[in-house]
Amino acid sequence: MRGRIQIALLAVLATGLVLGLSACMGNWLGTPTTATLIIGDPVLSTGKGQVILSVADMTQEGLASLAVDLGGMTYPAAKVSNVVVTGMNGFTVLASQFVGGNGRFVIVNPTSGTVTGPVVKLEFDVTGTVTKTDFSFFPANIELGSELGTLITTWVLGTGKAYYAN
Amino acid sequence: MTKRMIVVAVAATALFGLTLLAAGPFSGSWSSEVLVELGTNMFKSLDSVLHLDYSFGGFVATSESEMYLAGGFVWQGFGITGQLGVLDIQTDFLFGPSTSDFIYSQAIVTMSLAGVDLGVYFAQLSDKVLGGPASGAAFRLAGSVGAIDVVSVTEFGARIEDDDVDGIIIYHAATGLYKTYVTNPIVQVQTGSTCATGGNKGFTGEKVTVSGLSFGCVGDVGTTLYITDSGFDSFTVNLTGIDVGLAWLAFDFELEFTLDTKSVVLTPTLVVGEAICIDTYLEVLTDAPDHTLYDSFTSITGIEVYGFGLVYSWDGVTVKELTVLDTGRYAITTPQYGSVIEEIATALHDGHDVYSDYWELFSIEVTRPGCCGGLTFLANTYFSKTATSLFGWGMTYVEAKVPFGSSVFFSGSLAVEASGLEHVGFGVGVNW
Repeated sequence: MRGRIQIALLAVLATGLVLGLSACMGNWLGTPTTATLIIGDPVLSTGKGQVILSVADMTQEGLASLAVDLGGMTYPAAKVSNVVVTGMNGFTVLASQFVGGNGRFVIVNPTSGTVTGPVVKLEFDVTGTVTKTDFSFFPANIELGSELGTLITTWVLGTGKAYYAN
Repeated sequence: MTKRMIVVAVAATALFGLTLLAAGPFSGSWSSEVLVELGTNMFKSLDSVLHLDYSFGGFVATSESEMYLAGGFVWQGFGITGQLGVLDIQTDFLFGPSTSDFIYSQAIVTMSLAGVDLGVYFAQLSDKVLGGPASGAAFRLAGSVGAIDVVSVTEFGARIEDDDVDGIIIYHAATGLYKTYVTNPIVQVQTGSTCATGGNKGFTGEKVTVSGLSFGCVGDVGTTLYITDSGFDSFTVNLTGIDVGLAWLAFDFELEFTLDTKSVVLTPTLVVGEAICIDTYLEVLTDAPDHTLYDSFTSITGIEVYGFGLVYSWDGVTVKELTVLDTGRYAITTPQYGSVIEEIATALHDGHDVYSDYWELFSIEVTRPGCCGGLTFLANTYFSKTATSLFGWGMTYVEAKVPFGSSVFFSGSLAVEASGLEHVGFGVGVNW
């Protein structure tokens, strides 16, 4: 009896495997990958908040520098204050300024580039509640540099998805 | 999700877990840790991980739930592992509970037949993940002929993790938390493609690796051929441990052909004997930025001592001292990653956290057998080159785990920096 059950399970498994592998893999209508700067949703906890910026599918050996110039980031100064920038995954902060709802900062990784992963964390004090619509980033005032020492000119701002993969 | 909801969710999962204690086929663990930061931000983090196993007919079904104060209910994983005759089967499913999304799944079936290891890997990545949707499979055959090892991986839209290729890493954008899996489905879907027009169905790559050859002056010879659905991709020859007649120096040689390039890289390595008590971390320097030899970078410029360390253990007590001299390129990993000296670039690539601000570590660790990993006590003290405190003291980190009975443990942690108390942590865990 036990042997028959095993054979039956094996048959079901084999059938499922064959069907799965012979099906039209990837028949979803996907899009080719594009270098993306991802703005994470704000995470709030007892009067503090954080927003993590990540990258995905960066070209030219990965992101090694990021410059958010004046006008590249805005936030509601009435609700968000004392913003502190911290580099992640080898990135260090060269300069930062957050005044009157306008933020700008420069981060750099001197040792390697990041193709996919978190690169910078913004931590701040929160008055009331903030949502992802309170933070705006403007690509025209943001520059991305690669590990090869060149500008990454083709990229998009990624929003709307809670997860990303390499 | 509010803090109150998190606490309720943690309590609910705890109670749910405890109700399963008496159930025969169930086993598992639940652990929770609260990190408290004194000041305005009382809770720094609150984590809860519930792990459930259910055994049936030679299989084990697993459920793992991960909740965090920052980010909420981030991961829910399910898995089944077991044997069916000669087949070893593993499946994994990952969901994002906060958005109620399916994220990823993989199925791995392996077997050994007449000395040959056969494996089928299949994975799907949801379109809810940036980088998806994707799906694919890979077949792996591995065997040995004498001392020669041969591995063949045939890719049908997926790659599997090995020495050259990473698996898939799935990140939660809001928190930076991530999960890794072996099978990485590769997105090769063109916009507008359908099942009828092909999608990414079919062959996408073949990699054949041969290793284990050795000659008198070369420790190991390996070759890797990789072709894709577009044709030839690369052919690599690796010679490891080339003896050049100097007792203290050897070379690793890599020759790579791609469709339109050929490159040669020599990596000099020092051959040092077994250290008696003090380990010295050495590297051969060249005029190239990455300290290899290639193109016009042909000079060995020196030998760098970038650190040294002392580790001694007796009767469950381990004393460790590590000193990093080149803090620009090397750092000490966090206790989670073993407190070792590691190149920063390598640590970043491998996802290891390092203390880049500290150059020296004094550590004492005590372990005793017992439930749930036994009793452990760890005290690490770090020193900084930029700190102005006494002796350049930078931080002290203390953690302890104490078993209570046969299935419960309590844990605590404390981190004090020159600027004050960084955090205090309390944890509890139950195994059954």
